[in-house]
Amino acid sequence: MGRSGPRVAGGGMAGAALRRVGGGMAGVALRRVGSAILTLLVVVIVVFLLQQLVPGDPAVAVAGKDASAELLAQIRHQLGLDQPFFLQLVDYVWHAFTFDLGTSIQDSRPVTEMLAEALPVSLSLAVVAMGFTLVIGVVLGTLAALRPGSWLDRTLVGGSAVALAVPPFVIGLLLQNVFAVKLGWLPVIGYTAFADNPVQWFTGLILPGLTLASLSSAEVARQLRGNLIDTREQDFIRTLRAKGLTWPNVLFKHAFRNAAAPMLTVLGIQLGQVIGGAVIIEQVFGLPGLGQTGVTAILAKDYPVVRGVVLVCAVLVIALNLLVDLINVKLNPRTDLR
Amino acid sequence: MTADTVTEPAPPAVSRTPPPPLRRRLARLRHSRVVRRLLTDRPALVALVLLALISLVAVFHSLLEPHDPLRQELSHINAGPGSEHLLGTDYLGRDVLSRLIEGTAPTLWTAVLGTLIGMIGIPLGLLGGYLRGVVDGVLGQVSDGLLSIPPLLFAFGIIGFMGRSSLNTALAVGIVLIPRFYRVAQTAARSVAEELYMEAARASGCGPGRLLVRHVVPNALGPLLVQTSQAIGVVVSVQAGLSVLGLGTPPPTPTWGGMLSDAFDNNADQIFPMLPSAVLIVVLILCFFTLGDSIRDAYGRAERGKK
Repeated sequence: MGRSGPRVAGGGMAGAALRRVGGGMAGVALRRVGSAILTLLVVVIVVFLLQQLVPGDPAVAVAGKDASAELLAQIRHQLGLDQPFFLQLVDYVWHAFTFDLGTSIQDSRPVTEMLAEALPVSLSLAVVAMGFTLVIGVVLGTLAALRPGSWLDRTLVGGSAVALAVPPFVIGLLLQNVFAVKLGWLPVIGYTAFADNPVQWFTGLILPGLTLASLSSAEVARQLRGNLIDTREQDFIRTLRAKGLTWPNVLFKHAFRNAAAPMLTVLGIQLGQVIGGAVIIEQVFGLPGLGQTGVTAILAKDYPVVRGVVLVCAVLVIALNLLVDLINVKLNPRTDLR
Repeated sequence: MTADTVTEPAPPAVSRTPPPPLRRRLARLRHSRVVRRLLTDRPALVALVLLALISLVAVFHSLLEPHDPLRQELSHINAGPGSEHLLGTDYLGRDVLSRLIEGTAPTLWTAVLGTLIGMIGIPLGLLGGYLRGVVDGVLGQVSDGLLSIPPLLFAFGIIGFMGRSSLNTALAVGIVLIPRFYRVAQTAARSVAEELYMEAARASGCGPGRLLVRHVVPNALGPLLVQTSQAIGVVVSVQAGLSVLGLGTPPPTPTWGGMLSDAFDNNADQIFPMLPSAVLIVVLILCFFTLGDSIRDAYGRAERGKK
């Protein structure tokens, strides 16, 4: 902890001030929150700048070449284009932080309202996918680590390397074709709200959830296996083994606990991946989530909505990373004072 | 000290003539060790051979196509594999095999172009890692922000604003890759910057430009090659993903992702039409990922979970 002295001036000063405020761990936690807010600011600015990528005048792109001057003026106003650039930026950032993302050009509804409708669908998908990831990943990873080098282990390592290379939508298309179209076991497309019918909600999410989980559970299994096997070489495990405990015994009682913290980080990253991947999987399975909202908006050149979708997903990822960071600081204070 | 640095420019000019052979030979030796390791790595060899084959197909596509990839035979739509059309026909009666061959070049080209654009992150990362301080702080914060937007979604947003075209696909995935290359280059440069030989080189009057090119870049080469190889794989995946969303390369040009999307949109109850393009996409990604892993091993970095 004293080692943090000769660091870069700014961080060191902030760190020192924060330590005075709340002691080591609280200070670290505060710093994490601070950096997440900074990251968020960068993302909002990037999302704002996306509109600069539109070739030509965005208002003309939206309304078409033959649009009347009044319509153009109205759209310019809606997109904030009637203001100087810097003011547009400040305006967008300020409004974003106060949960106002503008109005949809297509639907004339507040973007936040549209996102609020789509968000539960995407979150449901993410939750189901993460459930599958956790179960499949932990079971496979543990099985592989129980007997490193066995045929099961080698198959899993090889299989997960291949799984990582298969784009999720390919798996989604195949799963959909076999289990929904051919066998008719599960619904092909569509979404039922949890409040309406929890069973249908779940059955509708099994295939898309498995699709998203295929990739992340491979990653989770690979990481868990690696961590568990690494732990195996450590002194305390050797002592336990020398005392006559079997490897499975040590694995479940001791090695797991050590693998928990890195696992958490991996899970956090995977959840971010799942949120990103959901965009396309929603399209394949006809789920009216953020992804579908985004695709519809892109095809209709509804720029405020496109911005909103990108922003919300990024915010989710940032919030998740922060959460994982904070839990990690709590679990393992010594790693995180740097 | 000042006098030294002033007189310094002259000696290198003189000594430049003799060293290159030796230095180049040394570089070649080091290079060859990595290459030798790669050539004894069976998965890497398989990947290299497959990539070479795919590139050859891309170059000589017009010689290999059994049919015109754009000719529609409306009496023969969605035909299964047969002697006339080895992989069948699509929803417009176009020969699938010919379209796959024709689509090789655009698929590869977008992947490579996208990765090249992403490499803009490398010099930025080297500078950030070497200079540290404010430059690194600002660039690092920006790249953190960009990294928190899921890659496919980011590409999707960029296409949303720029409009769809194959060039825009490459641009979008390229922009998405910039912060990823930045991270790798920055980490590599930072770890090298603290080495004793850097201190020595600096003390003997080596300027920052020369330091970067002569000492930082060669040492960062391994991780960067690994990243490049994996990045191309990611680009192929994202590009195909955009196609499935209907945001990829617009219709007349066949790409593998576009063909997969076509098969899904127009013939969803059949599994076979999706397979050829899906398999090729997976094989291409797998080749680049395998190559990345093998390069990492060849550079002697211990890979976790291997043996």
